[in-house]
Amino acid sequence: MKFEWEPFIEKNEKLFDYNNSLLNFCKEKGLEVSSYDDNTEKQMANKFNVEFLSDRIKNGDNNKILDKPKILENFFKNKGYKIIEPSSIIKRDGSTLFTSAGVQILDEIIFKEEDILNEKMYVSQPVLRTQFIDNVKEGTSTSFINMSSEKINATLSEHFSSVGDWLSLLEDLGINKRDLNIYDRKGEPNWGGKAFKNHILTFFFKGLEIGDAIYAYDVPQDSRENLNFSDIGFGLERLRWSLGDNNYFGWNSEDNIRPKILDYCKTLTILSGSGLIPSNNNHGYRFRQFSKKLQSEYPGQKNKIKEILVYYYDFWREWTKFEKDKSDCISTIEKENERNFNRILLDRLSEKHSDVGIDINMPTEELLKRLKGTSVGKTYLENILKELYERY
Amino acid sequence: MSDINIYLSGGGGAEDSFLLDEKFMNGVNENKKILYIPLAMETDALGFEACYDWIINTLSKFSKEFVDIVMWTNLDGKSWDDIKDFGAIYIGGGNTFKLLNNIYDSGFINLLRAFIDAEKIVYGGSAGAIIMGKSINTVDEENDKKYRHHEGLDIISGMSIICHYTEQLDCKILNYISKIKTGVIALPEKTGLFISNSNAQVVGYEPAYLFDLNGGRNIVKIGRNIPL
Repeated sequence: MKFEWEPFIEKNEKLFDYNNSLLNFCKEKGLEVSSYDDNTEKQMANKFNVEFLSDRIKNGDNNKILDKPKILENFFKNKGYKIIEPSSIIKRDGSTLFTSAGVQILDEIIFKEEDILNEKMYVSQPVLRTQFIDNVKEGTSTSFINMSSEKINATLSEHFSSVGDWLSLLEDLGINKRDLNIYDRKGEPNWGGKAFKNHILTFFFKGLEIGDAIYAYDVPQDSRENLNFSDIGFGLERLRWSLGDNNYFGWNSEDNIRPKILDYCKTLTILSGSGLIPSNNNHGYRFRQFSKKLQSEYPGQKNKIKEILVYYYDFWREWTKFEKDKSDCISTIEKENERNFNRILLDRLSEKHSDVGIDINMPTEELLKRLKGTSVGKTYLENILKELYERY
Repeated sequence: MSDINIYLSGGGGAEDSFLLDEKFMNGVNENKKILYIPLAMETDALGFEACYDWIINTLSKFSKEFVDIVMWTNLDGKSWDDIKDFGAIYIGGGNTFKLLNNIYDSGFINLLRAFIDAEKIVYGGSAGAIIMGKSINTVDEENDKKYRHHEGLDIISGMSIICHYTEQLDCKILNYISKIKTGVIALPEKTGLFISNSNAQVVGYEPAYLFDLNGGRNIVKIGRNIPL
């Protein structure tokens, strides 16, 4: 161990021996754990750049474990986990408007103090994380599958036993534990007004962060003793990518579509498929936000966008139930895309023409017809359209 | 003092700051692109998602049009080019020392000052409000990690700010004044300030309180100005 042990019993903290349990676990598994500090991310980023892309695992059939939820579910079922159906990505209560992590299957227990489930659980949960919406790139996306195991009021022994199960999965996938860097840190998160404490093990594979194992404690409850829980999660797409998929977003066409475009299409598909309607506030705000960003990155381009949307609809349907069928899901996105393309077009035209205050809520074809009744000349309009379409 | 446009809230919930938020959103009417900085919060990825949802719900209700709200959880390496197109910056609440030190250590302090000097709009909620004062030692109990920086942006004529004000804080405020020798504006949770044209106008549902250097507590009613 490279670990600098801190005194593990702190004043006013629940007394338990997390560090000793971690030490024993690492000894048993032959693992090294380091303390997470301000330089960890930088160190891992450097390691990732140097080694990762030139040295992927070519392990053939092992990758197929991550192709279908059933294979993963069987893996965890055989280890005694109850398999949970993923929740809708749209949440109607809890601390967030959308499902952002597998641990949110515990929301009813944590926030509404419903009965505690004693079983350890596994879920392949589609999630939305919008905080990185402007920093999307290969390896970083706003929606993905969060493979998660959860256990309310887990003992430390149960928590580390689950960490061991995940290490077995990584081993089955061909990931050697010697290629893992594991970092330990403590956190004090606040979820929807509930402040608590946790210990976090973050797993890096060749410099790429692939998952974390969290032991949370002192989660406030009004009607019963405070809770603790074990929450272990790995990103499916990151694991697939690290195991040899050429493209993090899974889109293997040779058309060189930028990651942001793929990401916005992928996220729009799960939002629309889950029954969301675009709007200027609440849940629908996100739909509009992603469509606007897509149109800003890739204005117009209806045919290519449709191709990508179909691809992602089929991807998500493997992992979750949708409220809308494919045609309905995609037509809702296309309608919103047209609206937001119209906005971009009119904003551009309004730089030189003051009489283009036309309602944007119509098909672009109809809008173009209405522009004939304005001061915008045909050639000027064609040039602007060409400029927008060729922006990519 | 150049003409600045600063909104400070006393740190209550969305209902408490409704009138101030409404005024703020009317102020950003022309350019509805808002930068949201939740870095005072002690939280994780899931917590930041909740912050993002909260700010969208809090601000978007004041506009019939789409409000483009961008959240940054890392200020490192940001430049003027990154912020110049925003109509406003909204700095949320949490631990005031964590926030201020992040703003100093990332170098964002210079961008924030430039943004204010460019007469652009800044909104500070609770911790975000306190950092606009001379010193953040009005909440020195929040310095739980030996943070180095405590000098605020000092845009309120040398006065400091305290939020979540109730009379129980009077002794603490008087102690602070005797040590630091600055006046203090105390904002209850239902109170906000709009600072512009060398005045700080009280906006909200309750008065603000101005503690002078002699320890006097002056009530400033809703709609009245504190001259700066």
